[in-house]
Amino acid sequence: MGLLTLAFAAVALFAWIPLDTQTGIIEKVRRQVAIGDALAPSVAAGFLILGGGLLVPVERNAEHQPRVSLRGLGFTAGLLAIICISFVAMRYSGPLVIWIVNSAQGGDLEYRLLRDTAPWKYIGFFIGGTLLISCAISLVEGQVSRKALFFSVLAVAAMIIIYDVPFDDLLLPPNGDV
Amino acid sequence: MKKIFKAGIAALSVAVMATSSMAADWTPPGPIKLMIGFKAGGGADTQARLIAEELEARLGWKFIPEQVTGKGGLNLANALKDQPNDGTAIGLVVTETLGYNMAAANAGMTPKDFTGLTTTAGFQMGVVARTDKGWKTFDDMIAAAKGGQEIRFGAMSPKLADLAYLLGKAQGVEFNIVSVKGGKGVMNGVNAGDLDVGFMAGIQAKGVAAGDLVNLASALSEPLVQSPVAPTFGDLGVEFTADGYFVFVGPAGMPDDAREALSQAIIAVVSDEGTKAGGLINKAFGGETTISGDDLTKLMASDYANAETLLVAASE
Repeated sequence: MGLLTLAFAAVALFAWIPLDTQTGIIEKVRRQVAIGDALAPSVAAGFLILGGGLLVPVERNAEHQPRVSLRGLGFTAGLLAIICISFVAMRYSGPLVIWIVNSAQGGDLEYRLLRDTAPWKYIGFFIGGTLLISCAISLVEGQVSRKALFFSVLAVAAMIIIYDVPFDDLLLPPNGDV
Repeated sequence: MKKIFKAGIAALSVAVMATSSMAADWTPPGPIKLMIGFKAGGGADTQARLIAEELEARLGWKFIPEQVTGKGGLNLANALKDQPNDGTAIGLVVTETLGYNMAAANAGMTPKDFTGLTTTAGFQMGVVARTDKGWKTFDDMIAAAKGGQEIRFGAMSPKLADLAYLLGKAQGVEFNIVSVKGGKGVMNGVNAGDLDVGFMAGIQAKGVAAGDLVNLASALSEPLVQSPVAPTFGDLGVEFTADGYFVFVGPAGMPDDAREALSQAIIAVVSDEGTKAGGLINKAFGGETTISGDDLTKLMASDYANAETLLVAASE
């Protein structure tokens, strides 16, 4: 864990932050020294190095070390895969449905222009959300069940009712980014 | 010659009528993403949202407002320039974003990356102090500075900091220029006594009317509406001004009919004092100022070019 933290901090410090900021750690703007946009993330990366650096020697020498098991790694990998696949489904299932409709009917619908129109706007959130929740439940339970699917559909429907229906100007994911 | 002249006028009229007719026919092909380059809840944000609300009511268009703040509007510009240019993505910034801020940041963008739609209002940018400082005129403040008093001068953008520097240079004094976040920050600083003087872009109106604040100078090319006797920056030997406007822009290459329809619709709302948006603009920004079409394109280009000159002047 300590080594992973150190590796992440190094990537952030030497790749992510330089690529994603413009002004450096401090910025001299017209005779005035100002805080640059790289300062805060660099400080955060510094704390990660500190934390990771402490974990490596301290935790390694501590008693009762939890052992990394293959089962635990498999669970984590499974959970990450479910999250990734669900997000991809959430982002692209709406445009995919539109493409299928256009192919079948010869229309020229565009998902971006329908991202605030029901039922199109719910496709991605519904499919991706249901996939995420039902697969996560199934992973924890160790089995695929209709009950998991039922409660996933219920949870996603509840979120749509709470976060979308009452608000005119709010968009459900992924519609703000298309 | 007369015939050619008449034919020219006729052709021009047809072209204008055709554009107007196209604009009248245009409707957005989907919801319009309205990027707002100001923090939620402030005057500028409220202005954008009220304009959108009125356009939805009048024309049935659908707007999706979204806050894209930071870096003096450049974050918005960066996000907007790559959006589709079919009229479904527009943004509200200030002309300073497309001028000084873009030039100073060397952001890889120019005003040519955007289609100017219309300005909505200008700023009543004054150099403002508390009345109980005892300065009745700008000269009183300069006399105090020359008498050895340190003048802490609040500025809410790099451009204004440059202007404060040039103002001091022209007057033979050196201000202690303090960068502050937003006009409200400057006003709070002045009111609290942390700043002696500062730029305020209209937020000072109530304080000036109540006699608590005084406009010592106009940072514009024109005198301030509220304090017409206060000298302008030109009077004070500064060849640059803080003239600026709120401006709606879209990505470059927006079709003429979409540009025309969006501009006209926004102008109609802000020019109507009966609307909430028009009322707010009248009350908070001293009334509408609408510049659109080729005039706006020229204004954006000249602001950008002048920014380069200002940057050089302020570096000397």
